[in-house]
Amino acid sequence: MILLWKGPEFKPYSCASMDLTADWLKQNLVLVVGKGGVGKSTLAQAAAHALAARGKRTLLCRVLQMSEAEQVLRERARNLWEVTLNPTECFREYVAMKLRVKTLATFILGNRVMQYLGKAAPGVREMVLLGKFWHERTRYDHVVVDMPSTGYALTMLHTPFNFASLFPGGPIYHDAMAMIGTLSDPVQTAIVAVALAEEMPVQESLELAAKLRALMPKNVAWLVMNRLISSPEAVGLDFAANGSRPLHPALAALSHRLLRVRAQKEVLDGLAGLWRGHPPVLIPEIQRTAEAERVREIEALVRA
Amino acid sequence: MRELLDGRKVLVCCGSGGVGKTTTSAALGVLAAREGRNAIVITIDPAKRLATALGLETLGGDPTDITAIVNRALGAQGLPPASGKLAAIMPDSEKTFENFIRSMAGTNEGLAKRLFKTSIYKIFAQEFSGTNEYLAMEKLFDLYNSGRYDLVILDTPPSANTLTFLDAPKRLAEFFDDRIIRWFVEPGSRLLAAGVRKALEILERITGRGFIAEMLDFVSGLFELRAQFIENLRQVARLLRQDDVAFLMVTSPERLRKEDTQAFVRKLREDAYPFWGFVVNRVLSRAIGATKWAAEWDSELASQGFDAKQIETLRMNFRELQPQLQHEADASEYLKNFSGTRVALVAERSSDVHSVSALVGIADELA
Repeated sequence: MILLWKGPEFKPYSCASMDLTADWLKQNLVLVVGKGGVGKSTLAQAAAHALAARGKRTLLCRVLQMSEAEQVLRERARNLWEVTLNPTECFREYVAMKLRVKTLATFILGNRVMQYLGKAAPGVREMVLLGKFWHERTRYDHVVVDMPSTGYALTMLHTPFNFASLFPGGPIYHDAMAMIGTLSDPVQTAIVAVALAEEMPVQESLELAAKLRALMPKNVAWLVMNRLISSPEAVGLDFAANGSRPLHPALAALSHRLLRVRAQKEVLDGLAGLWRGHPPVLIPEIQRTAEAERVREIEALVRA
Repeated sequence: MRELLDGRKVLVCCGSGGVGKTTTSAALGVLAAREGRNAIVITIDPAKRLATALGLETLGGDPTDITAIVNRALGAQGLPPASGKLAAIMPDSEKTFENFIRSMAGTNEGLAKRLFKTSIYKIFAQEFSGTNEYLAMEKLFDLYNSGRYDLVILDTPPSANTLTFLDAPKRLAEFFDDRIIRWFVEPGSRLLAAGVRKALEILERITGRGFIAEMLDFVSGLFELRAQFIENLRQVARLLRQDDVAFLMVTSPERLRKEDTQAFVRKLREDAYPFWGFVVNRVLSRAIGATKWAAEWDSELASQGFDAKQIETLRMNFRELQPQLQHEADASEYLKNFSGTRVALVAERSSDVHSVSALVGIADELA
C-alpha cells in the first residue's frame, strides 16, 4: 500500500483505498534525489526491483559524488541489472564513442593530462556521468538512477545547460541539447525527491523543486515522503497533563509516539502550503534492521 | 562529557547527514559556556529554525555572540546564567568556490577577478567537492589563531559519508596536482609539445572550439594559488593532530553504518587524528526509559488505574517499537567494541530540535 496524499490532511489509517498507480515510475528515466539519510538508495532499489518484477528491463544506476569504484554491470534479478558509475570509465567510454577512431581514443586516453581532465576538470566529470545514464536509457525500459546528494545532483543537472551556453556549436553542444530535451520532458523523465517529515529534508526538497522549476519548468518534480510513522490507537488519556512525575515507560512510549505523530503532522501541514509538484507519495515507516528486508517491503508496497 | 572539554581547544564533530551533528555541536557549545569556557561554534548548514533560534539570520557573517540567548533559555528553566560565553558563526555555503578563490588569492584581487571572468568558472562555481570542507578547516584555523576563543567547535559540512571531511584535502590536493598542472601552465615544456597539445586538439573535436583555451586559462590561474593552498593545508593538518583537539563521530542508531564507522575510525588512527568517541543521538530507549516490556508492568499499570484493554493497547504500541529498541541496543553494543573510545547516548526527541531550551536539555544530557 502506497499512500497517495490528496490534500493537506494526513490520515494514515484511512488511505488504504487510495489510488496506488505509481505514476512516478512510468518514465524511461527515473532520477531519485534527496538528502543523505532519507532512504534514497533504498527507495531507488525497491523501485527498480518493482519495475523488473513487472517484466520491465530495468537498470539501477548508482551515481556517487566521489567513487572510484569499479564500473561493473551485474545482473541482480530477472530483468534487473545494476551498475555503479565510475567517472574515469565514463569519460573513457564517451571519448571512445565520440572519436570513433580507436587509435585516436587510445592515444588521448593514455595521456595523463587527459586522465586528469576526466577526473578533475570542472563540468567534464558531471557531463560524462549524466551522459552515461542518459545513453543507457535507450537500452532499457527503465533506468532508475540513485543520484548523489541534492547539491551535487543539481550541479549535475545544470551541467548540460552550462555546456550548451558556453560552447555553442561544438559536438558536445548537440549532446547537451539532447540531454536537456530528455530531462525536461515529463513523459521521458521523472525526477523524484525523497524526504522525511522533518524540517531539514523537507526544506531541501522544496529548494530542490524550486531550482528544478527554474531549470526545467515543464517537468514537475515528484515527492516521496518516506518513513512516516502511523498514529497508534488512542487510549483515551491525556499524558501531557501529567508532567509532575516521570511517566511509566509504557506510557512514555505511547506519549513519545503521539508527540512524534503530531510533529510529523505539523511538517506535512506546512508542506501542503508550499509544495507545488505532484501530490506527495507517502510511505510508512518500515521497522526492519536489515537493508534487504526494507527494500523487499517497499518493493511490495510499490507493486501493490 | 565535561572530561571531553578539559584541556581541549578544538572539537571536530563528524558524521553523515541527518544524525543531528549541528544539534550536538551547538549543545556542546552550551555545555562549554556553562563550564566557563569562551566557545565558538562553526556551523555550515544548520536547520533554518535552529539558526533563527540561535539568532543566526545572516549567512557568511562574522561571529555572533549568542550568550544572552543561551542565558535567557537557562533562566527560563530556573538555571543560573552561563559563567562563560558562546558565539556562533555560519559561513556562507552557497558561494563556496568563490570564497575559496578569494581566500586563497588574498590581496591579489586581480587574479581572483581574472578567474571569475573565465566561463569555465561558471561551471565550476556551483559545487566542487571538497571546497566546503576546506573552507571549514580554514575558518577553524583562523578562529583558533585569533586568540579570541578558548574552544572552537566545528560542525563539519553536511555529507552523505562520515569520511568526506577527512578526505577533502586529499581530493583538493589532487586537483592541484603539481606535475599535471605544470604541463598545462608551462607551454615550453617538452611534454606539452610532444603529446598534450595533440591530445588537447583531438579532445576539442568533442568539446567544440574554445573549451581547451578556457580550461588552460582557468587552470593556470589556479596554479598561482597553489602554493598558498598547500601551505594552508599543511598548517591545518598540523593543528588537527594536536593533543588539545578531539574528533567526535556523531551518529544515530538508525543511520549507523558499520563499514562507514570502521573506515572512519581506521582513517583517524592511521592519520594520527585524536579521536574521542561517539555521540549517539535519537536513542529511543533513553527517551522512554526501558528497552523491553517487563513482566511486572501489567500489574503496575493496573494499579495506576488502566483497564485490561488500555494495557493491551500500550503493550501493542510497545511491541511496535521493539525492533527499533533492539536495533539500538545492538548499535551501542557495536560501538562499545572500539577500544579506547567513549560512547555518549542522547535521547530521541519527539520533534526536531529548534529551540535553545531544547539545546540546554541536550547539553545537560551530555554533561
